[in-house]
Amino acid sequence: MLFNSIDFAVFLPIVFILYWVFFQKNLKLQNLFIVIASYIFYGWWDWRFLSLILFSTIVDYSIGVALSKEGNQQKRKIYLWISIIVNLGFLGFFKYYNFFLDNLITAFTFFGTELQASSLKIILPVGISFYTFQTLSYTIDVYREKLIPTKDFIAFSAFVSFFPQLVAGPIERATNLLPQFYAKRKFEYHNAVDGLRQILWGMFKKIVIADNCAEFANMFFNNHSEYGGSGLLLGALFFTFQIYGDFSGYSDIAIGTSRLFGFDLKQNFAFPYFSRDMAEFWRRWHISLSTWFRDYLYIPLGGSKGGTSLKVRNTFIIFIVSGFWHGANWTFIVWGALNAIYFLPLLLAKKNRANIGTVAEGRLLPSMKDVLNIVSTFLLTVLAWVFFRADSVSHAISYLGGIFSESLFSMPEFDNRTHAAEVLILIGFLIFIEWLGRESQYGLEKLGLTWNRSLRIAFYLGIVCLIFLFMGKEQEFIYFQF
Amino acid sequence: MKDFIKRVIVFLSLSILVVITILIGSNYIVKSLATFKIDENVKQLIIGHSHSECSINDSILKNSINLSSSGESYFYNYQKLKMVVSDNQQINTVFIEFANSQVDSVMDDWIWGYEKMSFYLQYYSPFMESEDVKLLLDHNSTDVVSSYSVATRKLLYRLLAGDYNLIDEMGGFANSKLSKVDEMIANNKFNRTISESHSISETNLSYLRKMIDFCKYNNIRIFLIRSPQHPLYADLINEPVYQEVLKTQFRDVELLDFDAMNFPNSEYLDLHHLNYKGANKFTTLFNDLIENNLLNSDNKQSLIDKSIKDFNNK
Repeated sequence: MLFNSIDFAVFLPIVFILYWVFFQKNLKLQNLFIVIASYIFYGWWDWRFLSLILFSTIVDYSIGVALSKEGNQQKRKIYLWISIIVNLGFLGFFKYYNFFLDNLITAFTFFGTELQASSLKIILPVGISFYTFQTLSYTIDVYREKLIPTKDFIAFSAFVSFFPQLVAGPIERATNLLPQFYAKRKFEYHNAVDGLRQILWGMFKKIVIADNCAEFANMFFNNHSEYGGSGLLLGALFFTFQIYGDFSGYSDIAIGTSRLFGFDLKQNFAFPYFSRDMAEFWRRWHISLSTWFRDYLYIPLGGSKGGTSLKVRNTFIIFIVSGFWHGANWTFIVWGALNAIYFLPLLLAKKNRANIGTVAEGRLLPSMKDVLNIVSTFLLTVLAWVFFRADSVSHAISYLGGIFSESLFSMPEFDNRTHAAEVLILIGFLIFIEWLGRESQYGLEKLGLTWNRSLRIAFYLGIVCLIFLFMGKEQEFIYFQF
Repeated sequence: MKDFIKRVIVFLSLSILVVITILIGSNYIVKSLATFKIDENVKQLIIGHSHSECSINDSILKNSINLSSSGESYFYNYQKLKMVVSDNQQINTVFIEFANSQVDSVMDDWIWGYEKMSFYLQYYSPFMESEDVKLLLDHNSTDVVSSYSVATRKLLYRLLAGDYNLIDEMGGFANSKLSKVDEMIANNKFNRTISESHSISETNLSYLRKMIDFCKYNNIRIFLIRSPQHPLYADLINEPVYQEVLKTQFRDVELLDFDAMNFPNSEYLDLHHLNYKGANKFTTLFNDLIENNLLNSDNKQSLIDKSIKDFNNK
């Protein structure tokens, strides 16, 4: 069920009340209830894939237990590889089978041999890219002895299937989330209120920003040959905010919902479009995924230690794999490679940690230098997103070619310009709020807390009204396709 | 916890109250202040979708106004008709476009599909009856909510602008200058819109019935009209279904059928619409027929057929 659906609006209060009223006193029951609610939530999409998540849970739990008893390093490695093969095997089959097959056929054809094989009609289980990485983090951390493996199957199942973050993250580390299932959660009023505030802001980003931007992004990308350069640039801009509103909005709703149940999830987006360089961007965008790849792929490969060629190799590997994680299409690989090209000069010049803190920290306005850096980083990101959104590499190249044409400096011509202007104003509002809240966990976290209550309520009601007035056609979360 | 739940309920209730107030308030104010006044000399009203929008030039057809609107089904035509007739008692004749596509089930999407609802509710939601809203909810409740969202926003803008004259926004002669017929024929594109099975839209036809009954109740003469369509127009394939519907459901209303009129390709916009050249010729012929007492004649279609024959032979 979608977070912004009637089904979820009914599901959440029921689960919330049952959780705190009937299951608060007993930890095991509290966790068991989380598992049941999470399986209902996941099964609502497609009950057939419940067996997949259950199997993945059993395999990784068993491997964790086996690792706790095994002292032999060779055998420990075997157990780890079983977990990796099972998890990545499922992911590989459901997500990449047809991609590899199609490319194999293309390669054989190129060399003059016809390969007889047909692709399968495979439905991608929702959230598989997220929960497989989550459970892998468990087995890897247990192997590395960073985490004591759990013997509590219910707690582990709850960790794997925890519904707020099951289908689109954040990808939680076992070291952070699993221990939270070992202690009874107590209802904390301020956490719950903060959670609701974050849900409200997430809904605004998803419904008002992302869904309205989607209308124009789709229009420009699906018919790009009909529009001039300025229109296509606008389309890319709309997609830039669509994906941000969609994904960070989902994360906000997931984190906010978790807080309602007494759980603390890690921040997943830290205002990435205020980044002053691409290295900072990648420290602020989809933090749970980029840190996952950093800790479990980049550092084991050697990270940024070693010579230049090693750094270049590792950087390309990490970004290309990250791109490929998003989907079985060459566009994601190119997108990843492009980001690697953006990142490398900073790494090689040892400037990748030049902008660690928050921009204009403690000040209201950024400096001119910061503005220039933010704008140039933002533009690079917008251009890279073209590959992410396009149907194929040739589509992306054609789209970019369309942007950089004579008509780049003319007024864009397209239908429904009034609504586009409305959406741009709303984007301006988003940027304003997020700028004010850039030192917080999310845009709305501290805004208005010093105002009087009536004003604060009126402000939140204003956001509710904006959500109602700009509720476009319901769009699924983009990251569900990953 | 109890305090939390209480405050959440209060906030949610306030939110719902505010949203409903905005929704109902904006609809009520627009309904109260909206005006559909047209020139006192206008006595004939043309209503329909893009076919009549493109084909009837109301500056040629005397004492008439064309309020046809592209993509508008009978469901929305009906709302418009009620409002315009209520504000303009001098209207004594209504022509309703009755094209091949209008009997087909594709019109269902034109009634409760998101694209049409989100566009038309901004004009018609203040004037709809509860049964009309129920119909939309029964068929597409998800998109009704988001469509009302768009409509309410547009109504609020209207309130802010103080613009309550809706007549100019409810349709009008298209005066299209283009002609794409040759290109379409060369590319084998024949403008097919109707369903494969030629199934009927009972809902759309029920609203045509409502329009007819409304006119009769208000002592307004009512005619169905079929504008000229290109002989290669793909939707003509459902002609048997079209004639059957006409015979069985609308035998109490006369059809003025101009479909047999032939124009050069350059006088069509595409295979189902005339452009301004074709429209001017068609409207001139129609106007002449009316001036020669067509609407009071017993054998209307024979007179029309004779005029068409003379026109085609020129």
